[in-house]
Order: sequence, then structure tokens, then C-alpha cells
Amino acid sequence: MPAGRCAITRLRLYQFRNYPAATVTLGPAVNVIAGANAQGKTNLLEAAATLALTRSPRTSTTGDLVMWGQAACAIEGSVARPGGDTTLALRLERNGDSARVSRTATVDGKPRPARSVLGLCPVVMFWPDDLQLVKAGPDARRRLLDILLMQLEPRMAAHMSRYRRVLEQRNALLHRLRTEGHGGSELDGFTRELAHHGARIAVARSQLVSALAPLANAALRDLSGGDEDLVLSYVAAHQCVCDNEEQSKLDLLAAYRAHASEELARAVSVIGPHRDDMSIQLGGRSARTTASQGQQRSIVLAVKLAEMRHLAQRTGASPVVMLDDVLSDLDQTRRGLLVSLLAGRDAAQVLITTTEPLHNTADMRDAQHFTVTRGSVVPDV
Amino acid sequence: MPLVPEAIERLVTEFGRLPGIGPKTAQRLAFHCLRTPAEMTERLGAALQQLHQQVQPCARCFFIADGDLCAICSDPRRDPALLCVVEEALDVVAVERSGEFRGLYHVLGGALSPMDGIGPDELRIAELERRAATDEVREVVIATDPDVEGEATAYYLGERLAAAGVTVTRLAHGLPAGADLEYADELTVARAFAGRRAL
Ligand SMILES: Nc1ncnc2c1ncn2[C@@H]1O[C@H](COP(=O)(O)OP(=O)(O)O)[C@@H](O)[C@H]1O
Ligand SMILES: [Mg+2]
Ligand SMILES: [Zn+2]
Repeated sequence: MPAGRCAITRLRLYQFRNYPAATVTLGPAVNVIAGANAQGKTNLLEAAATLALTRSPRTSTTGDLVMWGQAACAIEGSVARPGGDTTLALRLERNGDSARVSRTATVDGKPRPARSVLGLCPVVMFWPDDLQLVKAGPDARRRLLDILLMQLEPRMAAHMSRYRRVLEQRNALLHRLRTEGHGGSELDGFTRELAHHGARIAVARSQLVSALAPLANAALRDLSGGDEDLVLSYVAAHQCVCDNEEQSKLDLLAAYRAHASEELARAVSVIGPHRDDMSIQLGGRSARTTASQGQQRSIVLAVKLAEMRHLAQRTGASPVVMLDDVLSDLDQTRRGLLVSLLAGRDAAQVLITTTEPLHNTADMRDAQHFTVTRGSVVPDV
Repeated sequence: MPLVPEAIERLVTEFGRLPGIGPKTAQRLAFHCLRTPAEMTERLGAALQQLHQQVQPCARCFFIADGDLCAICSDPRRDPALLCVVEEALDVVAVERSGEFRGLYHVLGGALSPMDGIGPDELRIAELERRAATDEVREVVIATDPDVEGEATAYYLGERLAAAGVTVTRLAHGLPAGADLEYADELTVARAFAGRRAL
């Protein structure tokens, strides 16, 4: 069990999505946030996640977070952690009529770059879409790894944003090469940059998957009691072992040379971490094609538990776990097991949203309950 | 009728176009100008007006000049064997502040950026190539920003200048990742110069 937990003790929102202004005092263990559809339950979790990650895990259009018709929004959270308490705040402001939004993050009142906020309040999120994690396309699995990575190693967030940028530049150049036939002499410089950041991302992700794999396998046993092994492994599109950054960079460069004509014909970069995946095998077979629906659900829960335990091991405190409307999709047994593992054995703070009241269920007896109605959240009495 | 006279609205709009100035600040500046004595706003207006009339790019290095050549190119104590390549005129100011570099400059006018349609022909690269090919020049130090575009440009210049028979070096990465030269402090720039490496 981890030495302690990280918990958001108080969350304040100002003009965030449909919340004009709200203050919620959360409990240290399970918090159940109930409400009808479209009242603001997901928005509340999104606010907490955005504060922790400095960007929304739900949208890349930051302007969507600001209440319609308003110029700015703010989120503030008091975070209790073993090392002491901190207050994180994030303010987003629209820049005139343009779609651009400026963001200011502060830690204990002092402005800080995003990279020094990451990891101060580690979070694990479980959205309804995550239930499809096994079956979904690879980008869902890459996103899971990347969100975990940037919290563990904030400098990876810089490599990821550089990588996205150079990918866009390189694809634009490939496009011009195909349509206008010139630009070839500049390609090498962008290819090297792509390989430089790409190698770091691939190696970091691959090491992360190696760390998650045994945790996920153990968690699956806790959950389902089955004896088939769950094996997670990182699959790089350039077929590299990805244990060394320099070697991985050389492998990437060689792969770009090998795929040069394909890239030119399609005008996109076909190799690199944006094409990589995490393979999930159960009992030696691909879980995607052979695991039952129930098994796939259990695997997803096991991966989420692994994420949480890895973060707890590495940071010395259980992360804040958010479950958005996913409990109703789980059967009674899995649901009870998940909540008792999270709140009991792993002692994490858990924020659960639900449309069904959970007051009377045995596993929620000690929880704190809240009700959300049209952008306001109040504790149940 | 609009609440605020047209003349003020115009000024607010123009201030609002400046970098780092939002609508609220633009409004504050405009009202501040309104409160200040007329001779001060006239001085500001005159300074802005003369800017483009009196300042032009240096014919040799494209840094800003008030004559044909800039102050650096016309200084006989500068070492013409060394060329420092930067993206923008402001970067020259940053390198000069460090006091570490005694050669001449070449301002590219940006960095390669295919997304924005900026290729080698949109930058002053042909001019750089011609300068580098002269007997006078021994070393070209590439000091483009350490971001994606600056790195790709540095690599491209390294390849292209290899033919000119000069030593090409890259400013060492003492610069904080993602930092523009313009924002780097003097010491960092000085260290970067001391540790430049061959490309
Ligand atoms: N920027 C915004 N400004 C105002 N309202 C918003 C904004 N973004 C989303 N909403 C509103 O928030 C509500 C959805 O909230 P959400 O948290 O997703 O609901 P749920 O309670 O079902 O999880 C919708 O009514 C939507 O119109
Ligand atoms: Mg919802
Ligand atoms: Zn000059």
C-alpha cells in the first residue's frame, strides 16, 4: 500500500463550462456526484483533470472550457499530499475574437510553466470511452500512455508537443513535395527532429508499458480470479526494441529511409510513435479478437488499476481516481470489487459520477454524496 | 451613435494588434493617451512615423540600419571571418548583450516552416551562401532558435553550406528547451557560444 494519498480537498470553478461559480469540499475517500444528464457531472471531473494536467483530457479546443459568452474561466484546487498541501490554479482567457486562449497556471499563487505543475496532483481518469480500450483504435491506448507519462516525467510533455509540431511541419512538407515537386532538400532536417523526439517518446512509452504489465496482470487476478495471463507490450511501427534512445533514433531514421517512397506517395509520415500501439494479450491470444465482452471489461479495469498503482509507486502517493459514469456499465460484482480496491486497498480518493443514485448500495456506505443540477453542486444531507 | 468616438476606437484597434496586448489593455492605453498632453502623443506619433522612413535592413547582414550598412557591419573592429546566423533582428540584440561574439551577423528573416509556406527561397539563404563562399569567411555559427523549426533550419544550413568550404558550427544547447534566443539571458547565450559544436 502506498505511503499516502493525493486528494483534492476543495475545488472551485468560475465560469468553467456550465458552472457560473461553484465550490465543492470533497471527502478524502469516495465521492459520489449524482445528477440527471447534461447537468455538469462530467464538466466537474473535467475541471479537476484540467487543473492537474494543465489541459483538458476531453477536448483540444481550450476555448470550449470557458462558459459561452464569457471572456475567461478559472479553476482552483486545494491538494493535500504527503509532502504538504498545495493550491493549484488555472486561468484561461480568450484573446479577443481569435480562437486562441491564453493560460496561466499558478502553484500557491506563483505563476508556473505547465511542466512544473504536471505531477503535483497525479490523476487517473476513467471515461465511458475507456470501456472500449481493448477494441478501440490505437490512439486511445497511446493517449492513456501519454497522459500517464507526462505526469511521471513532465519533460516528456515537451517532447510530445515538439513531436506533434514537427509531424505537422513534415507532413506539410511531404504534401508540398507531392503537389509541387520541390522541398526535398529541407526534408532531412525535419526528419531528424522527428526521429529525435520520436525516439524519446517511444523509449519512454515502452519502458512504461514494461512497468505496467505485471501490475495489470496482478490486478486482473484480483478482479476476475482467472488464471490466464494478461500481457501488455509496446509495439513500435518501426519494430524497434525501444530500450535505448540513441539506437531507437537510428532505427527510426533507417525506417524513414526505407519508407521514403511510400511517404511521398501518401504525403504523410508513416513511421513513428504516432503510429505505435500497446498490444493486449490474454492467455497468449490477442484480447481484441478473442476475449469476451466481460473479459475485455475486466482487462480495462485491470489496466486502470495498474495505472493507478504505478503512479502510486513512483510518486509515493495514490493518485486521484475519477470514474465518469462508468459504474452503471459494470455488473454488480465488478463494480463492488473496483470500488473496494480503489478506496480500500489502494486508499485513493475517488470521484465517481453517476445518473443513478448510489446511496443505498453497500459499497457506497461511507462515501460522500453530492448532487449536480444545472451547473451547481451541493452536498446531500 | 457609438458610445466612444471613432478616433479612440481606431486607436484601441491598432493597440490591440500589438503582441501581448489584449482588448482591455488596448483600451487602457488609448484612454491613457487621451489624458496625456498633446505634445507627448505627437512625439509618439512622429516616432512611429519615422520608424519605417529612417530604418531599413542592412544591405549586407539584414540587421536593422539607419543607413546602407548597420552599426555592426560598419564597425572595422569586428572580425569578418566569423558569421553568426540568426532568425530575427532581435536575436542580434540578444547575442550582442552577451558580449561574447566579435564577428558579423546574418539575419535570415525567420526559419523554415512548411506549414506557413516558408522554404529556403523565402529566407535570406542564397545571400548567406554568397557571403559564406567569400575567402574572408572562415566559420559560420548557426544560432537559430532551439525549437523544431530552428533545429531543422540549422541542419539544412549545415548541409547547404558544406559546399562553401567553411566550418559550420551550431550554438550549444545550453539554451533552455523551447527558449527563444530573444528571451535567453546573457550568461546562457555566452555559454552557448563557448560550447558551439561542429555541424
Ligand atoms: N462552454 C460552455 N458554456 C456553457 N455551458 C456548457 C459549455 N460547455 C458545455 N456546456 C453545457 O454543459 C452541459 C453538459 O455537462 P456535462 O458535464 O457533460 O453533463 P453530464 O452531467 O451529463 O455529465 C450541457 O448542458 C452543455 O450545454
Ligand atoms: Mg457526463
Ligand atoms: Zn549589417
